[in-house]
Amino acid sequence: MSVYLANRVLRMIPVLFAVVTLVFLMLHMIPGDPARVVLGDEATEEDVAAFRAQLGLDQPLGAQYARFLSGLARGDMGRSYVTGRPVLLDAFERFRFTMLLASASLVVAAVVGVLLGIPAGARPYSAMSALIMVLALLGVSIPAFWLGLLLMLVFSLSLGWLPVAGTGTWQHLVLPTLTLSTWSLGVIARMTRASVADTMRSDFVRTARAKGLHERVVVYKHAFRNALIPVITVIGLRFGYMLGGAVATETVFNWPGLGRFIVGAILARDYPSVQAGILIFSVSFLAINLVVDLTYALADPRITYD
Amino acid sequence: MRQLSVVLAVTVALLLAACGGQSDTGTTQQEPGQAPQQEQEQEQQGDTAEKDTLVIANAVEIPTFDVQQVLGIDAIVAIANLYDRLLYLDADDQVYPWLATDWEVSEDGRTWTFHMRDDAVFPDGTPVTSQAVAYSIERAIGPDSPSSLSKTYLQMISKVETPDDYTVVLHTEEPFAPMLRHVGHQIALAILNPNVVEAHNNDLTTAVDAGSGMYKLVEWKRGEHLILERNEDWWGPKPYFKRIIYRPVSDPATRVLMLETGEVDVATVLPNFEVERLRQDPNIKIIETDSIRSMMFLFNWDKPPVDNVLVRQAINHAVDVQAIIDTVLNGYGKPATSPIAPNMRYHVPVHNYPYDPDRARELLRQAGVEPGTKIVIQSPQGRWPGDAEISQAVAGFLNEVGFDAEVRIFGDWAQFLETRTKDEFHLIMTAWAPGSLDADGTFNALFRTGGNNNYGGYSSPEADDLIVRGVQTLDGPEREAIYRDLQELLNEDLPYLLLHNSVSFSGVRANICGVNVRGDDAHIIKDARVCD
Repeated sequence: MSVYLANRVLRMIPVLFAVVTLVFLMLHMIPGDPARVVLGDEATEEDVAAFRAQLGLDQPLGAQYARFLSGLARGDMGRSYVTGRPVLLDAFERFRFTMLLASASLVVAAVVGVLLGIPAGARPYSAMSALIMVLALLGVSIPAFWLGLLLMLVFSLSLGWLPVAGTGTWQHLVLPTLTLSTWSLGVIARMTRASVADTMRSDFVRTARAKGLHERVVVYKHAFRNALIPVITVIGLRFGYMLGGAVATETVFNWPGLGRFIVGAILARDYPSVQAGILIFSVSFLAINLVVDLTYALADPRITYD
Repeated sequence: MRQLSVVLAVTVALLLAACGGQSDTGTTQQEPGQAPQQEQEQEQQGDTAEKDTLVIANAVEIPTFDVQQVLGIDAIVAIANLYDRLLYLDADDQVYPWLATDWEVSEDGRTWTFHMRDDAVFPDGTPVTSQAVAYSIERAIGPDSPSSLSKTYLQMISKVETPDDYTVVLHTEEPFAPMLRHVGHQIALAILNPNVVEAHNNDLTTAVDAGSGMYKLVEWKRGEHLILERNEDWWGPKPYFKRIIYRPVSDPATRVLMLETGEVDVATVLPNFEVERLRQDPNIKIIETDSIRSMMFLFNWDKPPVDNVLVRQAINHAVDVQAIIDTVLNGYGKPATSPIAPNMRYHVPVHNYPYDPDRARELLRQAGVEPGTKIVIQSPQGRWPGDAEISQAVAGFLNEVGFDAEVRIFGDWAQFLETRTKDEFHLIMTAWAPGSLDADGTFNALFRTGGNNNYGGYSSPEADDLIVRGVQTLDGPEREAIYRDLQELLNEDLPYLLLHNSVSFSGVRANICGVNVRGDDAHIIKDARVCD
């Protein structure tokens, strides 16, 4: 197991290297001058040129890349062009908020999605299954920004139960979590249904029924455990998506997450902040993949990493 | 079991990243103050009788704590609370004494002498003296100083003298008419405590107690809130609110909802389509402000066919600006009558090109422009209210008089900035609001040869001469005459397609009085209080 883990961690390094290199090249290829964006309209051309020189942006691309890599090797990804603060720490601070929101949303999506998907998969052609799938489809179809505003109107403005936006208390987490979890809930419910329905056709399920086991035991203890692998995969992928794709939810609820941070940094051409944000996303996504792979071994005793 | 342990260990590591202790960066704290939980509960107190906290939702995040670098009017005004300045440019566009109690200017207009009060102190007890003023200016415009907002606003100062502790003398090479407005800018000449700045290695992002303003910093969490507490040692009349909390809320719909629920007391930059609905709410007051922002397109001065004045006249006649205001801006705005706004001093309503498509077609015939001539309009999207829609409407009007108009819209501001310097457009949108609220700010930037924002490339020796004379002539009838001549000249040369002057909206809870909005959207809260 430790060998396997070490291998996986080592294999992350070339992936991350490729990611930061690709992002570096893309940032320098897109139009837009960071110096002009940071200094604003009233700055003179001389000021802008001086600021570019200060940031090292007047150097050849190769020299800039070498300087970037040497900083990265020391754990220093530079300072934000906008704030002047170290970008890794700023990005990590925002990442904490994204992790909190994504984790809460994943728990809701996974638990509710699975709980809805199992009975729908056990009786795939029933009216209940159809209803659950319609709800799942709604969850997948409704845009996050629309749902978020709707939830605000109902629970904040009309009922006054929850705050509109921001952070600080558990109440602030409720509406963003409901908003972000909805799409993933729909996907997880549909995948669970499909996987359970497929597993219910297996021989061992017929055997379990033939042994006289209660239907609930057949479904939840035998069928579901065997249907878990694809569901775990989807849950893992959804978590990765939530980490990187929560920008709309973060914007509507003013949640200071990493998605908004990166989008803002791209618009401001704050190259170091973009690099730091994407690196953190990449590391977390790779770590999630690792957890998902290890979880397979829990779900299926036939899988081992020794 | 071992596999389960490993899975749990990695998962817990990820979750700890979310719930770990507070990091130092992106967060600045002056004093422990209240715990965030208590502050949130205070924020949600809303309209209680003991209200001592004013909560403001800003449209933008504060990008930096470096007072000489910060941009964006909401952010500027928020940070400005921590600092003092010599003068104060208030919401009524008048300059008032602040740390400087009185001032005079020499006969030749090149020497400004400010007399300071002697009872202002920095938080560490150091008196605020003329040396601190000199230090702040030197830091902004010294030979090694980086580019900054302060440098832009103070670079006309050629020498600073401090004959005594409470007298500052500023010299300029040439007379500089807007001197008081530049000195009274919210933050350009924010007075810094040299001891504190030096102790922080000249890094203003960490030297957070370098100011002597009416408020002190309690906590800044970037992207979340800025919490300020009243400076009880401040020299001036005590502001009503003990605490001010600024919250960056970029989504306008969220800002509106937070105002309606009372989570915030003030919400800046409201979308105009919400105004009528919010006016029906007895708990909310709408502040409507005539902005000094003038929307226009600049012509590419050397590019056919718009290098011909007849074509430029035709284009101004071809566009029904009032119709654009009525449809795109829901009726909020007024057709512009000059490149500077009517609520700016020296405005003269010179524009005499009313909507007349027949006249436009006649002028194009005279100019020899064939029907179907291509014309390129360049515009950002999401930068100014209705920008992209206005550009499309203008294209429609130009097509009606015979052009083949193409609109290039850039949702990415940085990309739009870059394309401004290329030669591919005939018209490029700009919406200019000078930070000094002085007419020179507009003329110098947009119409002087080589001006910072003269992307059309307009060049006229006569205009240049008037612009230079205008800034070098102190306020009075002579300056007024110069700017009248300049506006009439621009009206003849017509380097622009004039659009409108916008109206901006803010919302305030009905129990809050004294919030005033300046023409550049600065929300002045020094007089804010709970209504009597």
